[in-house]
Amino acid sequence: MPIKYTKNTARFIDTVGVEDAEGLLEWLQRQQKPKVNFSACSHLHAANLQVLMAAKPVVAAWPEDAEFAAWLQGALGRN
Amino acid sequence: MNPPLLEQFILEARDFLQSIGEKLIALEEAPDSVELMTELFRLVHTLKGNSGLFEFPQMTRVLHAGEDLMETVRDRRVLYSRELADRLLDAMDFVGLLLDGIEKTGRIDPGHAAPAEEVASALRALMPGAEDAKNAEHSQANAITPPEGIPLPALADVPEAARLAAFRAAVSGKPLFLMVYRPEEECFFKGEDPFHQARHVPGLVQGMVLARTPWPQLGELDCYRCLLDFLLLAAAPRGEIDEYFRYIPEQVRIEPINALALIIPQGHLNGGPVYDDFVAEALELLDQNNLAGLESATRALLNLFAPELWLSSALRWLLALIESAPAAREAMRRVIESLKTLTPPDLSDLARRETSPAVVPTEDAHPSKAALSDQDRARLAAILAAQGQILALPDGVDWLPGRLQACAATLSACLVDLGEGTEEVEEALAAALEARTAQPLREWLATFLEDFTPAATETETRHLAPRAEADLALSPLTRSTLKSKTFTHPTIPPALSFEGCDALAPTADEAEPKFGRRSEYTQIGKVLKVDQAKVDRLMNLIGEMVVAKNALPYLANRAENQYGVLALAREIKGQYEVIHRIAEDLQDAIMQVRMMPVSFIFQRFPRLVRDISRKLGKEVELVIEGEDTEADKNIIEGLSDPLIHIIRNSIDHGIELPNVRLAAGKPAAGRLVVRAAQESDRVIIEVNDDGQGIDPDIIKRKAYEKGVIDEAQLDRLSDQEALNLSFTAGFSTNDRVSDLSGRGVGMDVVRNAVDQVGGTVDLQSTVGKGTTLRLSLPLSMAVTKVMIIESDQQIFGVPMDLVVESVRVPLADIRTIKHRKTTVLRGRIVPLVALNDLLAIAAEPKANEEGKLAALVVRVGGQQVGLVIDNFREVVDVILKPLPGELAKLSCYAGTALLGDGSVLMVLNLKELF
Repeated sequence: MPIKYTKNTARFIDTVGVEDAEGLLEWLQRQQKPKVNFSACSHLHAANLQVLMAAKPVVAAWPEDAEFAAWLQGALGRN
Repeated sequence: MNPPLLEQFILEARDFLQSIGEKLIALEEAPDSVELMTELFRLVHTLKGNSGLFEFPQMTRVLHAGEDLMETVRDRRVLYSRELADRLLDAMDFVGLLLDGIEKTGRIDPGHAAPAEEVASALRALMPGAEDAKNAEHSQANAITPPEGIPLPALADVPEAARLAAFRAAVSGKPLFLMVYRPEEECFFKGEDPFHQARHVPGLVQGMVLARTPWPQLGELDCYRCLLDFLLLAAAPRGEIDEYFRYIPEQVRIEPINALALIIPQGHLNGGPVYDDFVAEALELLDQNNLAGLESATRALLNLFAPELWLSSALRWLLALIESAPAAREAMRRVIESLKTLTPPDLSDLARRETSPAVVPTEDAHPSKAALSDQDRARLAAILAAQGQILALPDGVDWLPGRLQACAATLSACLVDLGEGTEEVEEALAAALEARTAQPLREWLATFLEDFTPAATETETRHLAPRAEADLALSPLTRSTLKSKTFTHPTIPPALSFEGCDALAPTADEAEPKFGRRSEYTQIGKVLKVDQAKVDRLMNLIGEMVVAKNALPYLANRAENQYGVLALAREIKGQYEVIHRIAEDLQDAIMQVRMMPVSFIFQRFPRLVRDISRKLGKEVELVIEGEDTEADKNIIEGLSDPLIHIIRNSIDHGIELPNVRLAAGKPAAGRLVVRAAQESDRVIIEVNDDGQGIDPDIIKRKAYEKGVIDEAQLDRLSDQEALNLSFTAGFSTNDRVSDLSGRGVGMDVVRNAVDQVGGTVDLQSTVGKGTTLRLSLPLSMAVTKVMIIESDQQIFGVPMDLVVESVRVPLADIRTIKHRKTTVLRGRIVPLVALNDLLAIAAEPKANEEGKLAALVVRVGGQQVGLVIDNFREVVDVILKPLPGELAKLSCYAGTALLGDGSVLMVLNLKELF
């Protein structure tokens, strides 16, 4: 399971594929204040990315990879 | 060297192109011929399908467009017209061009992506409803604008850090490109990941992802419809980028940008102190050429101010210029001066013209741009003079505007190559068009030519500095000229050749691709298609020559012995050696012509194995080895059916059901190995399975039941002999007749087929471990090596591939076991059979002076037998001719051959003798 959901945080692990996007979208809809954690994430499929961009969750941790982090910061805001 | 499949594709594609061209031209004569049209469609369709086997998306794209167009013509939705034929011919010429590239390099130059797109869209433009389709697309809920319609973001929106990084990359010699990548909405369903694609753009400096439309409520969001756009700033050769996006060129807009255009200081203007002092000092330092001083002054000031100020930003750029592009003095000056006004420096004119090579490296400079050789200058002068002549023609003709535009385009192109601006030509052209006279252009040319003399070289070279690529975008006229140029010279670096921005909007001028009609080049294929009969005839003739050649040693012998001319004999022998060598080469060459790889038959096996194993509920892993081993075409073709029989047998009888295998401690999936290899002049094909093997006892019992052997044989038969019984006609161990095997036609068919091509079959099996069938086949059937033996003063031939060794056995070593003579050779008991007995010749084998018998050890049916004869003679190459007519029924002879001295050699068929 490349996305681990805990109480209000979704933790992305390694490469998150297209098939996880639907689950992610549903989860985000259920949450009041969703948080996402990319610290262990190396890539996520564009479908997930656009779901995140639409939902604008709070980002608890950015990816370690600086280049990847820059992409996500550009997309999800630098908050 | 390209892989064989690709070679074949190229060959076929050329044939297809040729046929397509012929059909198109035939269609011009008979535009209503449904038959021709259908054939044409089929050709294009096949070619497209073939191209899809390889990574040639550009080719497939063009062919696909052609196919679509032809489909509409075939369905009578569009009428065949000359224009249509022209476009199609052009498209096929383009495909031919791509083929040339593929043949040379094995791949398509990525620079062809844009022209491919143009050719394809030119074809599509002829299709009915091309417009409607476009409109329909636009009217969809979320219309997709083609990438050309996507506005490029202002460079100022790109973060400064990224721009700095890009700037440094650009001054280090890489061209810069700003890209907008708009994936299609359905792309997720095609297995694409646009984010991944965007992240790995070659030379990516900065990327941003944007929402195409404002995001809807989460509940309404369709997460599987891609609504993302990607902005990418990359420093990499255009070719690499085109290559990277080769599958989706229509989704990417790629614009070259100039490094200097990145210099946009940003930040809080913040009133602040006036920096006049610094400006004055800096300019002074710059004038003194004291870059080190300027750098330290800049750093000092930078430390004093908050980094988010506009001033700081400008200083950072100044530093970047000093560090990376120390030659760009004018740019530095303007950045410094901009501090006074706190408005961004206007560097656009620098970006266009005067930038030093260090700042704007052109990618792989256009040859004429680097420097003009005297030769090129002379050519250029000739071109200019020709334009002068054209402009001097009388004005009062209808086509004057066209002529003027053509001239102006040529002049602009010349200017571009000289590194000059084309504005003057454009102005002159506008004036000329207005006044409907060539006068303004003529005047401009006259002025220009005054400067353009060889004496003016020095002033000219100053202009020859490589210019910014931005220049290419200066005027549409220039661009179209450039474009047409690059079509005819595909070697020009792609980045210079095409701007993606108008690839989809062909104007009247550009609609027709200009890569030159292929009909003008005479391309003659390097490959001949020859009727097999002709090759066979050649082969027969060579065979005859080999035999005729063999007459020479006899002649030499006669010269020596009969006429006593030793010198002549030696010369004849010398000549024989020469002819022998040539004949061998000839034979080898013609064999090569007929050779084909065994993969020709092996390639069917995966499917065959899959089908059979499915049907039987078995699991089989097929391993194919040595599929590029080559053998004569006839042999390969003759082997096809026997091998299929063997594989069927192996799966049906050999490999057990998965549960049986597991119970026997084997993996559930059986392993079937088909291996081909060359061993000297034989091709060995082995089919090996790890199945249950063949139990010789069962075979014996079956053979007995069927009356193949009698009771006495039943006891005497060795296991190996029993195994060989399975090659007997009508023999099957399987009681149940399935539709796959078990009907008793199998192994004997295999043996016959292999015999026919002069091969041997060898069966080895271990119960519970598996079975191996080994076919040994000659490489070629044309010439057979035969050993001549002598018995009772007659000579006979024995095919060399059966001969194991020739030995002399002392009479004392011959023992009689059970009424059969045997001897022991290297620890093995070898039965001895006198050839005279076999042929019913009433004579005893003659021993030589030392009291030894000559025994030719041959391998027959997997057994070694010593054939006792009188004497051994030489080994010769012969053409084996089957016995004609009634004589063909004499199965003990394989055929006859003519020897060099004119005598006839009977070649024994040992398999039938024993």
